[in-house]
Amino acid sequence: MPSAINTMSTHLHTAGLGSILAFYLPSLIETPASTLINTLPLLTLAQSAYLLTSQLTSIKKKKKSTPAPSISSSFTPLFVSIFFAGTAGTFVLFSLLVLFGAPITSHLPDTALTAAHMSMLAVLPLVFQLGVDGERWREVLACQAPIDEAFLGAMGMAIGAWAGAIPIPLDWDREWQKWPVTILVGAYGGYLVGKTVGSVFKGAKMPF
Amino acid sequence: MTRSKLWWSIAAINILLPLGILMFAKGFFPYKPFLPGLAQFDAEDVTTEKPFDKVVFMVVDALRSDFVFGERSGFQFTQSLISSERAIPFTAHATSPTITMPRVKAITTGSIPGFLDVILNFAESDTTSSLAQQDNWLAQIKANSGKLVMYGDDTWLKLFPGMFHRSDGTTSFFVSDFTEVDNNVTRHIDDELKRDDWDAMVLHYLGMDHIGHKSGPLSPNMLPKQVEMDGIVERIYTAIETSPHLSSTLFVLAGDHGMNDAGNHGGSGEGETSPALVFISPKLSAISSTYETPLKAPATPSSGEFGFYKTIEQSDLAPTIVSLLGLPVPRNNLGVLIPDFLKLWNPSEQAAVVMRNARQLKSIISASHPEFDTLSSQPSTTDEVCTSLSGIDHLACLWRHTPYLLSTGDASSLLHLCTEYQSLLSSAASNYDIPLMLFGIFVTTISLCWALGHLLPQLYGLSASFIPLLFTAYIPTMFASSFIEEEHHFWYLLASLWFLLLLLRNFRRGTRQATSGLILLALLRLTRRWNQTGIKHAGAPDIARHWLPAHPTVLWILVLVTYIDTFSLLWNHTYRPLGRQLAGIMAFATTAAAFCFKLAFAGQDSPELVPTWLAPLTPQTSLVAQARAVFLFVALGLAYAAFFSRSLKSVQAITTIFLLTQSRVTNTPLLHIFRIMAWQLPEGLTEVEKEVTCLLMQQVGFFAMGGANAISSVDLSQAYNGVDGFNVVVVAGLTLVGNWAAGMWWRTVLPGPISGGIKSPKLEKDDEVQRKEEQPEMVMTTFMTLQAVAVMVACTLLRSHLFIWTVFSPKYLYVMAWTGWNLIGNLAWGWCVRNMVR
Repeated sequence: MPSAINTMSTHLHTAGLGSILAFYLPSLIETPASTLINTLPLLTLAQSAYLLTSQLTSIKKKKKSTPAPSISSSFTPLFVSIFFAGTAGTFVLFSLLVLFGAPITSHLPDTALTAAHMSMLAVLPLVFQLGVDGERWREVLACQAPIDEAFLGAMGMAIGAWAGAIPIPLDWDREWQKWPVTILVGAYGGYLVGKTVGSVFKGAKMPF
Repeated sequence: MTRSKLWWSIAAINILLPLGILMFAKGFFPYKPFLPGLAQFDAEDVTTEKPFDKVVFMVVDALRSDFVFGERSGFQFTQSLISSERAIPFTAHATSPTITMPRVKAITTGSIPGFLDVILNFAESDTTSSLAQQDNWLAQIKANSGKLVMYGDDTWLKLFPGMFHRSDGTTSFFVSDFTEVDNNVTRHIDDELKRDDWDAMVLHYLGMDHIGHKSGPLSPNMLPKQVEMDGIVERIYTAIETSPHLSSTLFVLAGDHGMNDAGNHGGSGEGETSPALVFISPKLSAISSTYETPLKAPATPSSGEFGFYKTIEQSDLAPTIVSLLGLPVPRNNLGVLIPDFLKLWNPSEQAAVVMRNARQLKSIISASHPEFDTLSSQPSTTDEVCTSLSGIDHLACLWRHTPYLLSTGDASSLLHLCTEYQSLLSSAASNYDIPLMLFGIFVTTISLCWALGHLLPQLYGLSASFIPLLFTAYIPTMFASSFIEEEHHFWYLLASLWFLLLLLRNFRRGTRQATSGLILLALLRLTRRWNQTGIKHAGAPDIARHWLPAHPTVLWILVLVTYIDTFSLLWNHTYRPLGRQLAGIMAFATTAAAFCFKLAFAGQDSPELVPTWLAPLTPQTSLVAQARAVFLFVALGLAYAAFFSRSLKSVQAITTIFLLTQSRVTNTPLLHIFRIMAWQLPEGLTEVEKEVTCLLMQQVGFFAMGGANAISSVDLSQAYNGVDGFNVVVVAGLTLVGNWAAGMWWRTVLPGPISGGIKSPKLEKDDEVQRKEEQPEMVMTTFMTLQAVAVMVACTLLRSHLFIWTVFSPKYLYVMAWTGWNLIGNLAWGWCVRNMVR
């Protein structure tokens, strides 16, 4: 039952990422930079495992006649994707964070690591799926691509990170209001919601 | 729907909106009844001995309590007077708004000026309306055939026209002036101390306030200034001690307000509301020697950070001074005689002294609560217990006891009665006119629904989702005090989102062009950092107040670039019909006049911003004449643009000259940044999208230029350009432009749909069809009504909130200002621009 495996792995992945976030939240609030750097490999691993599983199952589903593909043939594109997400993706997201108001005279490691996490969350699945097809990338940026987990996950991540900035100015003087905790929580939350919505409405067109 | 019908709707909404706002304001801002005429002793009042017959009242502007009483104070002599029992120190709690004019009013009349006084600030600075109509201790001295002299801040001369026998006012014109303003006062002192023809001398020193505004309470100039002020105290005290004609003189050293850590004031931070107050006279040892613990100086705060010694209300000064001088208490006084001073009278007289204060407070209660007189005149028994009663009944019961208290000479119970009366009179909450407030909300809500009905159904495309998002997100922020204080973040976040959405839409239209979108976002980010605003991070490092002053050469290169760019616009557009040479001359003359004024102004207002290589070039002619020359050039240029060149860029160029003149020098490069942003805006924006951009950038620009929802952030530095007298209309107009320079710039660049004239950008076919139905003119008006309704409802629901007077009321004043700006700037000026280029 490949599709059942796929659905199960999606939910497993969502729950997994959610619990990683919940588990590390206290230490993220206490020491953001070191927590972010310590959890980055874990996140990369979780994302890679999930991407490989879903690719495996989707290929099985599509081409029943062809012999079962080996996991190893997916390794190279995966490594390239990780490399791309870790460098270019992180750089672009870092720039966007700064353009949207992230501090530039302080907190540089925090911001860069936040960008890396956001990139591993959203850019990695997109690169793995879209490769270097410029037209498909344009469709994604224009919000016109067909709905799937990677696309809506990325969109949710962006919206979540943007909305994550909202509680920062409040005068509650809570530790969690500090940079970049809310942004990161917003990004994770947005990604997980977006991904779930994407898996439900898979293949549909964007409503606008 | 025809255009003319739309304009009728806009006109109707913009008439309803100010009406609703004014109605709400009338119900919301407490109006205190004020009794005309001067108080006189009546038959009931027993005349008592007067401990003093002269007063020297020395105000040091922004004299925060710790400046005098703290460990690191420069007031060594004053502190020695305190420890040697010849001075009695207090912290005088000043109520918000902590700005000079209302504080002087509180000190002299004993009343508690509220927010209405801030609105009336301009009108009251005018000599036509003043405290001439309100009873105060200066008028009492004069009415009892005393003579007054005054040196220092001319606020006093404006508030009390014709009051002073001799005077020399100084204007607080340039904050960079730390010495002249004070020397101007000090030079009169020795002369006056030798004379014996005056009964009250008022001195008001401005230097300390200037230092605070310029570089904060920790400025290196602060301690020398304290030492200087201490020297003045010593001179006056020595004269009092040695000259026989001054032997019975009361010397008061007082701050009108304090300052916060950034050196500003206006709000209700502890630093702002805690000025020092010292009563000085050799006679006062009669009081301080009776204290259980002798006074010590320097001292540590007894409460909070700035609460040194006993804290009294600033309004208590008025009844104290008149009682010490043996005069009637001013009619509108809400203060209570400071209890410590009672010891200066015989025990037999003390009750009679307090009774005068009590009678005066009672007369105000009778005026505001008509039922009080009947209640208080009911017969009573001496053993009646008042504590079980509350409100007016309680106060009336207390009053019924007074004959008994007076006969037994119980001064302390009478003082207790006074404080009870004071707390009822000072509480503003009872004065809301809720029905009127609700009616104001009702009227404004009608105009909001009307506006939304016009705007929303016609929207399509990006703005159809962005405008509802903007509107719905804005409303809840008006109910949270920190979002009001940090409102700039809302606009920065929304503007960033808007420009990103415009950038992403390019991809939808098939292009992969991202450069101009990224430039827009980058410049917006730079703009955000220009001036640190809001409360939470006030004073944090930014570009305009920290980086540029450290790099003045970079500042002036940016300023030059801005002016040269405007010059080329003037040359190539505004004066183009004149021919190349003549246009060049006119453009150069206009720009040069404006630049010279900017440089001369900076040279006087903030010399630290002028690099050494520019200093020799600073013009020495009068600033007023220079500013008038610039305004003349602007008027000429506008007229020429309106009648001859008639293009948007030509109006834009000459308006930019005006706005550069009305902006702080450190903010002028922002106008150039805005110009690049406007130039990078994507082509093919619909009129509604342009209007959304204009709305966002007006708000972003307002905050980026240093604006905030706090009274202390109003920029008055450009309000007197070219003005040498005082003209309410001109000064108010210049202040509005000075604070809304960014708004006016964006309105000029994006003035709204122009019929005919300019070619509309190429649009997709379906866009073209729909464009005719959209109503871009409605965007601004709808937002202004929405904002007004949100803030009104917030102020009504949160009227007992702790921050109602410090956060929500100032925001309401800003709503009024934005509404005024919408009428003058967006509607009237926008109409002018559209007609000039048609």
